[in-house]
Amino acid sequence: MNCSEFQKLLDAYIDGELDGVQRAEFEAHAAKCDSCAQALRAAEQLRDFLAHMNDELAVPLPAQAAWRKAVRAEARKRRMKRVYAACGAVAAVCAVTIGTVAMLGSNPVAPNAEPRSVAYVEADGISDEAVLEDPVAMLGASDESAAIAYVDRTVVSEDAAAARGYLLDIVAEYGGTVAYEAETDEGARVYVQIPGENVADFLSAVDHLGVEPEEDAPAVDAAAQTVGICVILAEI
Amino acid sequence: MNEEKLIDRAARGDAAAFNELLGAYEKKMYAVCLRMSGNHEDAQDCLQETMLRVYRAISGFKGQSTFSTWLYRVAMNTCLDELRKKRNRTSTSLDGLLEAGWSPSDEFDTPERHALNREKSAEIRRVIAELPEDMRAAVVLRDIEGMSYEEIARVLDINVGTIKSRISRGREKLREKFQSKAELFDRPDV
Repeated sequence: MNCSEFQKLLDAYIDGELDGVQRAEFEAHAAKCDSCAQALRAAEQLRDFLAHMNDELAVPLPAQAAWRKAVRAEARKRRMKRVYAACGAVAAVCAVTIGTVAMLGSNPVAPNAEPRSVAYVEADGISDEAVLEDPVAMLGASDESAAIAYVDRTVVSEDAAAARGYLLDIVAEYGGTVAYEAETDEGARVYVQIPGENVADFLSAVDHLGVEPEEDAPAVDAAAQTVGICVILAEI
Repeated sequence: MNEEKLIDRAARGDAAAFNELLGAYEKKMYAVCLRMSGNHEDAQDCLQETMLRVYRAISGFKGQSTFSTWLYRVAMNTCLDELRKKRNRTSTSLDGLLEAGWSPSDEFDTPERHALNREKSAEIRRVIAELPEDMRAAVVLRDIEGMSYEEIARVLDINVGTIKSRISRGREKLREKFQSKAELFDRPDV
């Protein structure tokens, strides 16, 4: 094998594509030619360096949050489209119904809808019709009849302040409010209230901020109108 | 839940399934975006656009290729589109920026930077970013992502012969550049 043939086979050798005979000839040439041996070492070092470039790579928190936020916005847009389409259908039905009623001279009867009570949850206690202004005072509260459970999440990140910013964005996105914030030894605690129908999506969004969910956390009752959630922002 | 079920649920609009499914590929997708764009800011934009495209198109995924190959294809197409857009937007070329001393890796502090020598890491990103896009795509998928030639051919929709040629030329250019920066790598012969 000469130097020109060696250079032509260099990539195939690096990729492990040479058969036994070719490989032996290739290596024999490298053993007796300094410049080709140097080219081979350079190629191997480059290969090794590139192969390990991503080993320590971490996706920055802003990048993690950005695509999830964009996807949530897209999902919301889709939902709204479906709602508008459904509303359009309902409006058409209503128009027909109203027309019919007018012709018959009757009055439609409004449904007797009982307003649902609002339930807030905090720590190990549950309280109906309560306002989550002072979670500490509610720690002892309990109401076995309430069908919602306490939810806790711990967001572990390198930057608690940044994580708090993303959390507040997500809270606003899901129609929630921050009820209370406190600094503790484990990290900043943020108590939020989220409309019941958005809780699952909200928790899913929070879980992507670097969360360690409680493994034995009770399931949230989807019928609850508002659920209180405590998010602990801990730094690594 | 296995990947097939997650794909099925995500295709039917289940956002939680989508997040779980794509969360598992997030680092790989981000790595492709970072190596193609050369900096974290653009990589973030590419990742976001990739995920949105996947979200919009996943209901049309028929399993003709593996999900991973399909994802790489979407990510690579997105990166190439974003690079083209960027080239059209700005009159200053990447080469011009690089010549002016701009470093694609100087914008974010990441754990990666702590692990690698800062200057060395910046240099390797710089030389990869200097490769022509077609060679860069092939080299990134082969030498950084570790794909086979056949997989790369499916991702880039190009025949294997062309892929081999691009990789070979891309490596040659990289080796030339590294040889001229040997002192950075603590290896006299690199």
